[in-house]
Amino acid sequence: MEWKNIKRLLAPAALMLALPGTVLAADCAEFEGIQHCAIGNARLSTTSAGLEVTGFRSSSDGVNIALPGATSWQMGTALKGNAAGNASLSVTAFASGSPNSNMMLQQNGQRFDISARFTGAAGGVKSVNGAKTAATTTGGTYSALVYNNGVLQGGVGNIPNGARAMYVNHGNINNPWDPEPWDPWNDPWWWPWWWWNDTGFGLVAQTGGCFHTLSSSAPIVFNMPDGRQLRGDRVELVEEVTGSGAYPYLSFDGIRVTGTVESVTITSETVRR
Amino acid sequence: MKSLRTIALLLLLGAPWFPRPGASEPASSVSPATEPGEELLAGEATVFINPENLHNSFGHALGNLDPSRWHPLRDGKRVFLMNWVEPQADARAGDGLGPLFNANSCSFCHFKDGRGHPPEEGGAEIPVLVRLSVPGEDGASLPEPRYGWQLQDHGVKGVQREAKIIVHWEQIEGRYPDGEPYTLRRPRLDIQDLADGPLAPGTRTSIRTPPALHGMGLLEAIPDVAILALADPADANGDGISGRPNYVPDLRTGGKALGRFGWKANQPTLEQQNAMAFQEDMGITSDLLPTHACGPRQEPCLTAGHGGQPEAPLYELGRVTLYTRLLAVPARRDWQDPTVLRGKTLFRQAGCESCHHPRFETAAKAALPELSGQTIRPYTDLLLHDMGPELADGRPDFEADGNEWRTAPLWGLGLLKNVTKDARLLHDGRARGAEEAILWHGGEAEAARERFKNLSKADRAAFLRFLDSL
Repeated sequence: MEWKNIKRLLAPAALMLALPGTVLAADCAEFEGIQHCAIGNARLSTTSAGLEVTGFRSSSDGVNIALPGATSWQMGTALKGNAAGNASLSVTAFASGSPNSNMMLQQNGQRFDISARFTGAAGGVKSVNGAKTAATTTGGTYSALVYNNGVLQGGVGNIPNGARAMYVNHGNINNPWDPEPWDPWNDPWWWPWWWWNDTGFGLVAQTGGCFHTLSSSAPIVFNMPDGRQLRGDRVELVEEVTGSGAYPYLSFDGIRVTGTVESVTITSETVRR
Repeated sequence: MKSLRTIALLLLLGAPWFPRPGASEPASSVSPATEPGEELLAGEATVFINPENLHNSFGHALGNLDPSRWHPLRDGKRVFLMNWVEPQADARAGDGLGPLFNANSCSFCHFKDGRGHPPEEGGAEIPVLVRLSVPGEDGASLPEPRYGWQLQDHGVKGVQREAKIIVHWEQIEGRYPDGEPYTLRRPRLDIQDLADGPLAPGTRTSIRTPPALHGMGLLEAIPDVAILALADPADANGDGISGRPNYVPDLRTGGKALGRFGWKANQPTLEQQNAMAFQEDMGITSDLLPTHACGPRQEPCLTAGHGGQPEAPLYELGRVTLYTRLLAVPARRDWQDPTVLRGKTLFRQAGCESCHHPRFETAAKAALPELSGQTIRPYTDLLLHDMGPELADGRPDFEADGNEWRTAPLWGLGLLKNVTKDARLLHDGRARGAEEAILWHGGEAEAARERFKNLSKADRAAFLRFLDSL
């Protein structure tokens, strides 16, 4: 069976799973033993699939997830984009009440841009002809690694903070040889986001650098900054930490998920401290 | 080629715009100009903070950190962040808090390696300390007979806290000569619920707020001789500024050493400063200070359990000391801005650099070469100065008298508000910013304060912009 057909078969089931359930009286809810609080216009509700977050009207709407003293966190998700095909999702980690890093997914029609921004690095000092000056005023680079079924497929390093790590062309989201692009008239509008089924964040024990993860329900093709195409089901965006001038994060306190998607359903969640 | 370079150098030296050694000009004629490397407050150890990450300005590793020290630094931060708990039956790392204490972690007071949260009106959870002493026969300080050197406002189970500490604020209105109004505030200490009876007659109290920790290792690396060269105890040059060293006990050597840490420069090394904070602030013993800070008649405190002897083993004290030595100083911002340059000139003209000394060269430190041979710009002389009666606590501290305070370093001043949002300055946190801190200057600094007050409003703003750039 072609994946295109599987997608259409699964669509109603996925929609049913995501039907709104009981709207919680308070804007906070515990799920999997973890406290979640809606922010902005967002609302929380429980569904048979998990904890659903809706009401994303602007990029400041979403959910705060309290994870005091955490060193890693993982969240299974069911995501729905918007009808305009330009939704975004931002996953921001906080340490001591301040943002420590962020991963951004930005849909633009059939294309997803994936980028990250970390804060552990700082610019250093360099000498030019004896005169010392700033090596960089912002600092910070990261690596983008692609895994398939747990096996590293390749990666690109030295990506400047905030720059795009990779993109996914939704027309070929599963099959790079599929010439048929996403058809917004015939394909369900929420479909592109349905592929992303897991996201996470953590600290690399050896370096103290931070990392974001993003997984898809099946292997897809990631277009890397060096022009390569890597097929995999999981990406890791890893902060590059050299020590000099770096900020030594040892844990984080929470995650904030915001964006302009239609909804985020948290289907599972784990935290390690 | 060599001769060409020599000729070029001679031409450069002869050029009228090149400041020759010894050719000091009156401050008023200093033209606003940048100086090579002036943004690098800590030389090669400086870090340029990502503008999106200014809230973490003070916790970065030295910009020139040897990669081999990255893991030790992180180990030190673990101790720094550790929430100590009361002694447990099964000895474990991190037990030994109390019996009496003010805080259960280093980071409680030094929030994000900064100055901690300010005292609030009537607030109960305020990381301020109250130092105590009574006058001895020779005028030197002795510990308060019941409560010791410091009031601890927390106790472990079965040990009553020594007191409740509240700070009230009195508003003081004032005006600049040009009519611009300002408001200062003065703290009034309210000590309630003293557990062991009233304080002894004549007890002197002094409120202290925690200092920020950036650049501490570099301050430690300044050679004694460079600090002492700035001392002028008898004001021999007649400029109204004395500057005295505070010689204090060095517990490692058993002798005396130049004090350079603490609001009155009463600690000679970071290790000793940290050991003292462990003992007095958290009730944790170390090999340097192996006893609890209990008064002689505080039986519950004296008989309480302990979390090991010492509770902070040498390696833990060493780790946290290394951590504090390796914290970087952020680079200046906007140092090329014409208003900032104007402010720098005004700062000099006001005579502030007489105490807030802008430049040192650090000594060679074999164990930590990153700290060695750096040109640093801490804006302190690490000496004691009479700051006048308004700031005086009347409490001698070794060779510091009751009017004297160590010149506070100004590097990182403009970033305090980014780290703690409500930065407070001076020893008791009374100043809600640099402007109020200046207006509290008295004694040797009174003339500089008056020069500041007599500036035009625009010049005062430029002056403060300069301070904000540090």
